[in-house]
Amino acid sequence: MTDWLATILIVLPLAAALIVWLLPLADRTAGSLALLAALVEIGVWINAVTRFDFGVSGPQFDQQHSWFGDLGVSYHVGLYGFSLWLVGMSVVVLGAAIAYAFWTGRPRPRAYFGLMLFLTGAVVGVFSSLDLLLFYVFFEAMLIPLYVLVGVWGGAGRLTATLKFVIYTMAGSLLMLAAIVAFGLTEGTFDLASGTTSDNDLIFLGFVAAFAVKAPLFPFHGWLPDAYRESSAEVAAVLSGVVSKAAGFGFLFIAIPHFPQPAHDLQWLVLALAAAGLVYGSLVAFRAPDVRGVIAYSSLAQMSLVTIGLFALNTLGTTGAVLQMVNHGLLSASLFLLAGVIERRATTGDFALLGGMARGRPALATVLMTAGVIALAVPGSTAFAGEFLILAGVFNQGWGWAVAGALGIVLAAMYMLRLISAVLHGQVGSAVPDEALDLRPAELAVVVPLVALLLALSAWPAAVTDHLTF
Amino acid sequence: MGPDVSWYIVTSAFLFAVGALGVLLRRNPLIVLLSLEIMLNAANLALIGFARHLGETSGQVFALAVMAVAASEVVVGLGLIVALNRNRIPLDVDRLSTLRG
Amino acid sequence: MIAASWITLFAPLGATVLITLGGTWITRRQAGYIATLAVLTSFVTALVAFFELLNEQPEERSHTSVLWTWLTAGDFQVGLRILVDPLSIFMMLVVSGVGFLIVAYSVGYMDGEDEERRFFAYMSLFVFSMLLLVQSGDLLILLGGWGLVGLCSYLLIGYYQERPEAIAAAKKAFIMNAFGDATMALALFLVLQRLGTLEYGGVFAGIDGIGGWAITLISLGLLGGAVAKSAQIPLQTWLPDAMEGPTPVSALIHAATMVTAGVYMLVRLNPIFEQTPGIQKLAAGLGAITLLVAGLIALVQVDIKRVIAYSTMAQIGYMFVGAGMTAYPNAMFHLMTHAFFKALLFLGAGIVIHALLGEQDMRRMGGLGRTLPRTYAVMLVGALALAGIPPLSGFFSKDPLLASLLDAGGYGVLLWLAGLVGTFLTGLYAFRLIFIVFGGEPSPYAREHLHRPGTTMPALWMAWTVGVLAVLAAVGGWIQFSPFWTPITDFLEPVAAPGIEPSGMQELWTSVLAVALGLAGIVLAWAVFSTGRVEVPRPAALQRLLEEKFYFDTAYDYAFYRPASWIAAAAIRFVEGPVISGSIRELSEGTRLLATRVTELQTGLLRNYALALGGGAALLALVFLAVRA
Repeated sequence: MTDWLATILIVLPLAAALIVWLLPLADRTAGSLALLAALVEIGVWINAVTRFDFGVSGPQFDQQHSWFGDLGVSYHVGLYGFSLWLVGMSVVVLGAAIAYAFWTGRPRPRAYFGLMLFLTGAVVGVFSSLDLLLFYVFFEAMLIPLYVLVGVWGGAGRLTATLKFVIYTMAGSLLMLAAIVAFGLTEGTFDLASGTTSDNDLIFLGFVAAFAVKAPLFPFHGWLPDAYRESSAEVAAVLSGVVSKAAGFGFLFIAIPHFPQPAHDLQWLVLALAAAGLVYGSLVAFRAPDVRGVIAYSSLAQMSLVTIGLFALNTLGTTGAVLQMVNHGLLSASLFLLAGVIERRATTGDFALLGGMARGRPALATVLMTAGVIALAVPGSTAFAGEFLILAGVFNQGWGWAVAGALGIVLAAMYMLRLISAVLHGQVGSAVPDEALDLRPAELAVVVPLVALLLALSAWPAAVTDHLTF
Repeated sequence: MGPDVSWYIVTSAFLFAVGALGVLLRRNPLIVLLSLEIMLNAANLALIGFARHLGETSGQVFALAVMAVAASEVVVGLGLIVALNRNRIPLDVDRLSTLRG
Repeated sequence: MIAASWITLFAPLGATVLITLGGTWITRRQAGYIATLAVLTSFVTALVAFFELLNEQPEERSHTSVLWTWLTAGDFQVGLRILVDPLSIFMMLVVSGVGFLIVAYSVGYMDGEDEERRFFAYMSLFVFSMLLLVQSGDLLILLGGWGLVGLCSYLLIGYYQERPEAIAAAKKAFIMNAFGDATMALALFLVLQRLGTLEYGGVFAGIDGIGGWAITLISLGLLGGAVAKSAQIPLQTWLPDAMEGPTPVSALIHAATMVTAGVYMLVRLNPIFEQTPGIQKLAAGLGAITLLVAGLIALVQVDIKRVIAYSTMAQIGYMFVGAGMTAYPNAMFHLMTHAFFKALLFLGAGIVIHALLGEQDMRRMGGLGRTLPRTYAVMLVGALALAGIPPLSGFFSKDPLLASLLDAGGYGVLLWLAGLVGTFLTGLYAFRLIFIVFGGEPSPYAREHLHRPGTTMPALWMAWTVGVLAVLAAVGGWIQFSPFWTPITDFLEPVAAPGIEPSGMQELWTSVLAVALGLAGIVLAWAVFSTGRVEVPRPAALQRLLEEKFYFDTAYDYAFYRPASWIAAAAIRFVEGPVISGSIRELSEGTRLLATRVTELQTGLLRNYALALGGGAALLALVFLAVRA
């Protein structure tokens, strides 16, 4: 049973996706079934945590079956301590997204929830693959539902958004495929748990390019503003909260350990891109005209920060990066879902038309304020813990990087406070109707668990950092 | 001693060139088809010549296959030409350029 | 003792959680009671811990406790560690004691506000954060408390959230403090890199091994945090604006506790700062400049709370001078008495503001001494204590602090002179306030709008707390009268032994001069603002310089805010638009153009294809032949 946990985590949502999509269920039933599947998935993950042995390194719950024997490709899945937390964050965020979609109501729910569940399976697959080709398959499988979810259920500009997203990610993926083939054929194995390493700078850069698009890093973020603005709130939440973490996972699990020499030689390049992205994203977020714009560009800044931590190439930075990935997943999801909540009430996310929403809406104000101040990494929060470790880690590689990071943190305070104030404070905006309600119980049930998790992590970030195995 | 294999090859090449020029230069689809046949038969001549020269039969088998293909090709091609004629489309390959990009 | 200290720390947090989760189940007034009770619990448990500590030998009075491991990364560990020693107990008592009085006052002051629950949740959260700051036994936890008090300050300054000025002031306070947090964090990175730990014990043990530029940068980074938090020049501009918050907030956060955190840090981390005497002198110098500049600006302010805010900056300047010149116990003592009399002044001002239905402009006040005699009396006590007139508390704490500077060489004498000038200014601006607000005939506005506090429940809550603070401001200084009896210095000795000791004569002369100058200031204020006999020359340029607060705001606007905005706008305009979005547009346009060109090859003419085919084959044949040959 225990051996099957990783496989179950992957297959359960995929099977549920098929059921929801194919069976001629009523709309309401399909949604409930999807939500149930998401909750069961979270339950399975909790079970996996309790069974996980944090005392030993190496993958656990692993299973290996030969796939293309000639090429050394196999179905090899398993979880490390760090990927366990990424999987947990993903299933929680996806569960929240499915719940949000369920309560908000989406047209053609069977297809919608089917795709969401399929996405869940693919994401978990990405985080638990121990084979390079399998990783690629899940990585691409993750994109298919996203194309459809953005392109069909998105807003007015969804086609442009999807097109940009497709072009960017396809370009990145093809480079990665080339890199995977080159790596697998030169090293004779596609297995990621075997510890083979390569010195080839070009193969390394192929991987980096794919992950840089996915994260995204500056200047590969052209798809980001459109995709985050045009998709529905919960898809944006998943996109920035979960899917971007595939890049962090890729850096952490593939690009760095399997290319130690290139990672060391080209560290400056990645760090420079990430530092530029951090400052640049923060600056643009500071001037973004709407709620989603701020969250989108802050996502660019945060993923840059995670990359900085990973490419600090030391324990402090890596630990901080994993913690920050979990944090940012939960944060970004809460913020995007709240953006959706605000847009439902005011029909717009434009700051010029918003304001004064705190008055008479204490729950919305409290939740948004809490998520916002954690997002700006107020000292004492879990985001602060992550950023502190990341910057302390990169400080050892050169103090300049840490100064850039500290600058990013000050800028984060500026853009996040701007968002909070523009939505909650000041005069009541022209788009905010008096009858707009506070958070409804259903909305509370989606957002509060995410924020509660963040608060719990703030009290005890060591829950993650002390339970990492590689 | 009869003519050796080179005579057959030269003849075949000559026929092939005639056919190719016909395909490239003529506009009447009927003539183009005819030129195509000449090219195919040039190839057949070369195959058989080599088969004789090497004392193998596989060349002759190929030639038979080519004939079969040529026959079916003629059926399709003539069918097309008849169809064109029926629809009162002028028989000029330069004007049949619907697939132009 | 340890258990009591943990209760001290977490009781206010419990109140926050209770009020937040309780929502409308808790009435507004109950929220106030919960918060008050929680802070009282903190005070009582702090007292318990204090007496247990007193029972121990002085050298054994230091205990640490870790509740759980907060953060780890490999070998690096940060526990949620508290340190209970004389210094932290001292601060716990001040914070929870004054905090209790101010929160209790708020029960009356905030009565009838729209969102009292939110106010009390924030207030309790603040007390928790402040206690975390002073109780922490680890630099990272200290930074955590540091940031959380900044957050609470932001939340409470912006409490009146529909007022744009309040929101702007809140953001300004947070961002300036975030800057201080950032420099502190950088200092911590350096400590961590060099020593591998952030726990006080380990850091203090290894700090003298760092040396060189690294220790200077560490001190400088920490000082950045202290300067920002304590509103010292050059990071002072947020404090006057912070007066947009409710008055109890100004009293608690922006007078009694949070803004003195910088002083606490200078004292707490004295093993680090003492490695770099230059930085300590810098801190003292900044304090001296601040106390002069703030004293001057206070002379022209017309908002009653802003006058007190500038006075706060100036008084913290004194503490910085003391802590910078290693007169730690004096600085802490002044911190305590300042908490009493400044809280008193703010709360008294709050009563005045309430009585005038929210009016804060002193020009519209006047003659309130007759209509609000008891408020007048307590404000007088506060102002006299502030001006350092014996036998009120300010005299006992400020004068020894100044006197000890005489033991610190030429630089000390310079600071001593600045401090004495500051004393004169203090008397002047404090009594300018008193005479304008309470002296003379009632102004037309005051006559029309005066709303005498009755004997209702809210008014009584305000009255008794102010009364207690008035007593403390009057007699709180008697605890220590150096050089005759010095219990505070003795108590703090194991943690922060003073580096400079004034002689009895120095104390005497300083006191005589300081009191004389303070009285001179009061007399001048009387002559100018009460009787109007003396007309002060007011050069327009000087007046304008003071009213523009030495142009710090304007300078920062031009130096930081506008460039940042401009760069951000430029990034959007010149990079995000044309380069990032543009690149993909150009890419797709380019692809389309190329495709158009390529389709032109597709003539639809069989002969062209055949020719290309044959030509290609021929070319290939030639290539193969060439390669073979």
